[in-house]
Order: sequence, then C-alpha cells, then structure tokens
Amino acid sequence: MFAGEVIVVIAILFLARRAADEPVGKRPHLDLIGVLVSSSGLALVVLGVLMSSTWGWFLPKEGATSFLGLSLTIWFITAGLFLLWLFLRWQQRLERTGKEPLIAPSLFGHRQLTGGLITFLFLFLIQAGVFFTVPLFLSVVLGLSPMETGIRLVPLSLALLVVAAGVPRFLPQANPRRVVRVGLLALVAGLLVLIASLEVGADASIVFVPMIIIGFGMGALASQLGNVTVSAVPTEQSSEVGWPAEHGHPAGGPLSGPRSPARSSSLPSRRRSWPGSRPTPTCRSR
Amino acid sequence: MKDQANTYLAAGAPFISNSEAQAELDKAGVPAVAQVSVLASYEDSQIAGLRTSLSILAVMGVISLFFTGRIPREQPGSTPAPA
Repeated sequence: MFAGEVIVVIAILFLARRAADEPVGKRPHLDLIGVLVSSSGLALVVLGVLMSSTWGWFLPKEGATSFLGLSLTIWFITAGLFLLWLFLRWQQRLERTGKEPLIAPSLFGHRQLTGGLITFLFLFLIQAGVFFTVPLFLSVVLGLSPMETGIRLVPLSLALLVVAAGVPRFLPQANPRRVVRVGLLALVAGLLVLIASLEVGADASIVFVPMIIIGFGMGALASQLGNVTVSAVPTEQSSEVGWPAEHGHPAGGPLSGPRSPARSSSLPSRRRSWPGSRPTPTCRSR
Repeated sequence: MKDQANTYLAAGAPFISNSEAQAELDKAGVPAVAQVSVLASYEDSQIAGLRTSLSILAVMGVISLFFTGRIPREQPGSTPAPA
C-alpha cells in the first residue's frame, strides 16, 4: 500500500517538472529567518504534546525529566508559542516594510477567510475524533476485525460523498452560511445519537444511523468551506487586494488571475489594513 | 489496529480489548468469579470513556456555531461586482 503511494508521488513529481511556471517578474525572496523561527516554534509545541504521555502535562511523571519542578511538556509548549509570537511580529514587520512575508498577518483580519478557516479547524477536529473513537468502539470494545470496522464506516463516507457532490450540483445558489450551520448541527445531532445509543452490550449496528447523520454534516461543510475560504478574495478585486491574497490562499497562485503591473503599484507598502476586509458584495457578513 | 488497540489514554491506562484484559487477569491469577466483575466494570469504563470523548466532540461542534456568522450568505461570485 505504502509503496504504491510512493510511486504515485514520484510520478506526480516527474510530471510536475513539465508544468511551466508562471513567468515571475521579480525573483521571490524566501524569508529564511521566518522559516527557521516558525518551524522551531511548531516543532517545540508538537514535540511537547507528543511527549505529554511520557513527561506529564504540568507535573512531571515519575522518573521523567523536569525543569523547575514542572514537566518539560509545558516548557516546550510555552517556548514554542513564544517563538510563534516572535514569528508573527517578524512577519508583521516584513509586511509593514513592504518585504515578502511567508504569511501576511493582515490576512487574519479578513472575516470570511478566518470564518472559513476556523470552521475547517473544527470540522477536522471532530472528524479526527470520530475516526478515532468509533473504530476504538468497533475493533477494541466489540473486537471486530479491521475489515468489519471499515465496513461499518462506509455509510459515513457514502453520505459525505453524496452531500458534498450533491449540494453544489442541485443547490448551486444555496446560502453557504445556512448550509454550514445545518452541517454543524447534523454533526452534533449525529454525535448525540451515537452517545445515547452507546451502552454496555450495544452491538455494531448502533453506529449505522449516526454515521449517516455525521457523514451528511461533514458533506454539507465540505461542499461550502473550500469555496468560501479560497474565494474569500473575489477575483474582480484582485487588482485592489494585491499580493496578500496570493500568499494566503491555499490555491491563491493559480486562482488569482494573471499578474498585472497595476497590482503592485496599487498597494502602497505602508498600507496596514488589508483592503479586502472591507465589506464587498461577495463578502457581506451581516 | 493492534497499535490502536493498545492506545494509552492520557492517564496512562491502556485501552485494551476485553479478551486482552481477560488474558491479563488470567496471567495475574485472578479467580474466575472475580474476573467476571472486573471485566464488567472494565466494560463500563470503556463505554464511559467513549461517551465522554464523543461528548467533547459535540461541545466542539456547538462552539464552532459561534464562528459561522463570518461565513457569507451568498455563494462566492454569485453577485456581479459593481462596475
């Protein structure tokens, strides 16, 4: 299985070499200090969390290394967060002085973008939790084989696929906020049904209905969030919004249209607020 | 799956299957009568743990509703931009 993935990645890398890069006017400058500070910060936080079962969260576990009477976990997380704050300050400075930051901090002032990203975060948290807890019940408590466990999860995947593909197709003008709210409420409802039916002696069939409801909710969210996030900056505005969009979007490069000289000149380097955060026809928030 | 079956919870207690728990009890020489009640209470705590985890997820789902006001009412790009 894993070998197959490696082959696919190698094929993609090979084919990607043929894709012509968009001609770049100015040679982009990679912010090496930012790379160093942000990766060390993230690494410290992640390492601290990963080691929490050995070191303990706050009080050191028996025999674990500690510093000033506290577990290393809390030190690592604190140090990592501090580095991330330094990184943010550094990026703000680069943005302010018109240099190229790794990520423009002003993006975080954009309501639609942050709304989409926060909802994505919660979706992924809940998704990870469901895909951890339900297999734990099926394979450990009930002792089902991995294959049987997988089959019990299929209703979720099917409902997710049908809704994620069906909403844009049959309700292309659906209100994204309403679809997202319905999706989140479905997630909560599915979880509550699952909690209510989980009891000693319950068999594997109890996950069927909750899996469909949760899959429906995830599909509803998946049908909107990508679009809401990526298009937080309308293409029509790209000349005004300028470079932050290119750097912030997961898909900003290819979607933000051709480079125009007007763009760089229309955004004075000292401008601190991001123009896209103003209410616009596609970003109306109330 | 074997790895997941041995997932250590935060407190350090392993989440193991009933058959593994029974094997451990056998190894420890626990009499059969006591095993029944130990396994029953172990099963209770398994279910309680799962229910707790799922309810945390449900709380997260409700918290996320607070941020949905930031999501637009119209489909992106559906309204033509004013000239």
